[in-house]
Amino acid sequence: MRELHPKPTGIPGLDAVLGGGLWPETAVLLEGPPGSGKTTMGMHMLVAGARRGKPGMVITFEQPAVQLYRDAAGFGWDLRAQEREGLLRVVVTSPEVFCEELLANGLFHRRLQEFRPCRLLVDSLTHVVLEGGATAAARRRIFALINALRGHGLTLFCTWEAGAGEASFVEYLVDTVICLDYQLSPDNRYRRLLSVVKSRGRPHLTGRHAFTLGPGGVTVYPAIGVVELPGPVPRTWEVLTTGVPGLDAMLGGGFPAGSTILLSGPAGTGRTILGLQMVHHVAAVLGERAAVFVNEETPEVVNRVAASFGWSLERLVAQGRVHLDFTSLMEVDTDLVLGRMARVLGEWQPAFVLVDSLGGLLHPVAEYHGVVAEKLHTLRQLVRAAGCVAVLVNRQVLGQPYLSRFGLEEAVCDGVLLLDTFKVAQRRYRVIEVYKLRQARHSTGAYRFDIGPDGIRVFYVEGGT
Amino acid sequence: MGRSEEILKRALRSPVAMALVCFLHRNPGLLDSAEGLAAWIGRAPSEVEKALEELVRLGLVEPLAGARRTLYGYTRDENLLEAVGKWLVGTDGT
Repeated sequence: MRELHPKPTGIPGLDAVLGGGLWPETAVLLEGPPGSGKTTMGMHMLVAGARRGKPGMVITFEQPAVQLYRDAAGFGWDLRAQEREGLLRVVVTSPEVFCEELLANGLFHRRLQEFRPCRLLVDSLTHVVLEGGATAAARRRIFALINALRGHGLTLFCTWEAGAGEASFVEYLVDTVICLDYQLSPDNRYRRLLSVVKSRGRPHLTGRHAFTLGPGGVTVYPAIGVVELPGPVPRTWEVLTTGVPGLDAMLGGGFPAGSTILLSGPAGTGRTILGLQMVHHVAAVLGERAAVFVNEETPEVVNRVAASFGWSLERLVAQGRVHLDFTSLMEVDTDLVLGRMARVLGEWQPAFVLVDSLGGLLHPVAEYHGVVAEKLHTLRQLVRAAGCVAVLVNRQVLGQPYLSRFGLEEAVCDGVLLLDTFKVAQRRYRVIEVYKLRQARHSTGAYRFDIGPDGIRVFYVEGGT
Repeated sequence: MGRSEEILKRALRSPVAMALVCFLHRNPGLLDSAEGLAAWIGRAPSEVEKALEELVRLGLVEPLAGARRTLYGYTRDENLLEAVGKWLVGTDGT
């Protein structure tokens, strides 16, 4: 018996949600309100199929082809070129004509026989259903239509307008239902979310998963916690040195593999500089990879700060030693950044990860402490699974009894480094303290450090503070 | 003036035919009834039927025998397509 394998959809992240992809010759309903991305998702799967040499056909009842060409161009897809290559066909028609000609073995039946598409998008099935209403006869008609299309040996994608009357029986007639939606976040921005509510014969990830529409089309970010975490990466080291000898001595050698470290302190204490110094050390000196996720400063500013100490982050990025991921603080979506981080940790396998800042990463969920805790645990899980070291830059609010913004970061993280300053006789001094570090025999107490032209120097004296 | 340009000139005397040619050229994969085409271009079905007759006669539109009614598709005549393309470039107001 021939073994069946799910086929990739071509949409990054979606196959993980669908348990590996879609069975061939299935009928998929893409359901959602206006503007939720139904047509784009359907088009993306057709374009991706065509790129693999699998012809696709679009049947459009409402949107003229010329609009589809234009919208697709915005995602970098040249539909006209794919049509010229015989890999795509966009057919503009009416729902009643489509049904008549298909069910009576007429023109559409013949066109499908001639063109033999592997993927077909009907945009939207709602039009066909509304022609007949929610009657038993209409249900039989749609059932016949779906079966007639399936009879052509293709994978069928139908868009469906959410809340389209009482005709939701369509969900029962298809094999897979993907619901697209948007949700207003506490910062008054819309987040796109999808959920697979039905997937006949295939295990799938439950829950709602964030997705974006951007250059290249749709990207799905499977909710961390339900997706497979990156596998352990074999490391040649047990502890990762920081590049600051005094600090390494305080740490008992460095940060243990798999540790998540909170680098906390008030503004102006040198947290970002210490983070960048570690990035440079790991990438330029140790020859390992480092990933940097920034949200409070642009890459230009980060590069400039690093360059002022002689650390050329730009060169390390160009050499493929440093991965720089920037999201403006105004656009941070915690799940999306964590999703990208999971992908980078799994595929790129950095030894070191710098997040600057943790507050920026968590600010969209800041109102919900339970969610903050969940995201932090997720991050720590990712780092542990990958066996790397992550340093999370955190701003400590002066006068606050906690070491961190939410008062729970220090409990979740494996280690806490505190940076602080104090003033004596009109002179301000900087101090660093290893407040906590699991699996290490670290020093206790605060030690002085300064920020010189080569970065941070810690004046550690064994046995003294 | 070539044969294709002559045909196009005659076809474009009617504003409905003009709208149909424009729409068909931009949606070359169309396959629909006169009623469907009327909805696509926002015109009365009776006007569209009349214009389609003329466009079929001129070879700009291809009639196809459907299961219940006549369906229409755009011409595949390369010379006509080229002539329409040139005309559209000249009239595109965007």
